[in-house]
Amino acid sequence: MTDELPPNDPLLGVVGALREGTAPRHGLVDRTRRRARRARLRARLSTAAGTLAIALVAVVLLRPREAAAGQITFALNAPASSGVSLVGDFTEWETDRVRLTPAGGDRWEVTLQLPPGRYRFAYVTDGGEWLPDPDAAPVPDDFGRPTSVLTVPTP
Amino acid sequence: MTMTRFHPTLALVLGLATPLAAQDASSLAGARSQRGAELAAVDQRLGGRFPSSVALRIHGIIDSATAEGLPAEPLVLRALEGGAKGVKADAIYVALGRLRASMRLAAQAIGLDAPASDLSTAAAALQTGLAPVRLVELRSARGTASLVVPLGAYLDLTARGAVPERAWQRVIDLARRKAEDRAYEAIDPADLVARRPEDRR
Repeated sequence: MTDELPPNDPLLGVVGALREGTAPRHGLVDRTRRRARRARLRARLSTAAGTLAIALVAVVLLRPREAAAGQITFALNAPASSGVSLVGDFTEWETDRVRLTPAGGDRWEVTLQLPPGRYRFAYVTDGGEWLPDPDAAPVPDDFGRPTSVLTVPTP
Repeated sequence: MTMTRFHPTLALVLGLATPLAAQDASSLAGARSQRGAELAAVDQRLGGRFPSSVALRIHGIIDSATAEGLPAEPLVLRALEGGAKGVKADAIYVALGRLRASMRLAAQAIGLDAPASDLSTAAAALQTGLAPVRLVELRSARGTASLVVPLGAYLDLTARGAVPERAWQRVIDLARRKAEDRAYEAIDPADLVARRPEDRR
């Protein structure tokens, strides 16, 4: 259409001005798009940061539980016992190294931190009676006394 | 001519062989010294828990086991267990002999370089009738991971009445799938007990 106008036609100035005017409008769209892209990027970054923060919080919260993975509570009901000892691979089979404490009623218990591994153990009452752990798997014993076994997994 | 050609080779061989031999001798001496220290520590742990004649015999069994490359620790603990339980010395010797033989067999299956806990748990599994080839299978499935948890799970399941073959299939299946240790703990022995007499194999 402008090709049909004489070169000095004032309308060309208007068209030129309109073209110039449209250029910033295209720029505005671009800027808007860029802003939208930036906003999306910011949203993604903040989502990623949020996820990372949640993951870090989870790691921090879970760490003590992992650290306590080898923490084992040994418990036994031993009515009429004046005292109970825990003996096993982790006590070098010494009968007076780990004592259970009264936990109410006939219950006795003690909590130990053990490294990963598989341990043979038993309880010995102050009366000299050897008792297996009621919750642990029984184990064949070369020596004819009740023995239990416990596996502590790798954390 | 031939001699001239051989001279550099001979020199190279001698040059390498001398330090290697020295290194071998040095590492052998190191291993001997380490074993000596280990046995001295064993004596210290046995001393006071057994009469000297019994301690000496136990020491002999442990010494022969470590000379084969087997770990002393499971044997020491079994001896201490026998001592704590107040059994006759002969029962301790028999138990130690059995454990040594089982660990030897286990070492053939999973390697002498396996940790003591792997070897002693594998030995316990062999004593319940697990075939050594199963240990090879498990070693291969677990890669370098410890065998204590899967073997411990197998032993616990069978001790609670699971059919050994079913228990093993469950364990090896988890090992092949690279399952985490907690998956072994979650196996319910009730799913694996014999429903019919012919299942008890």
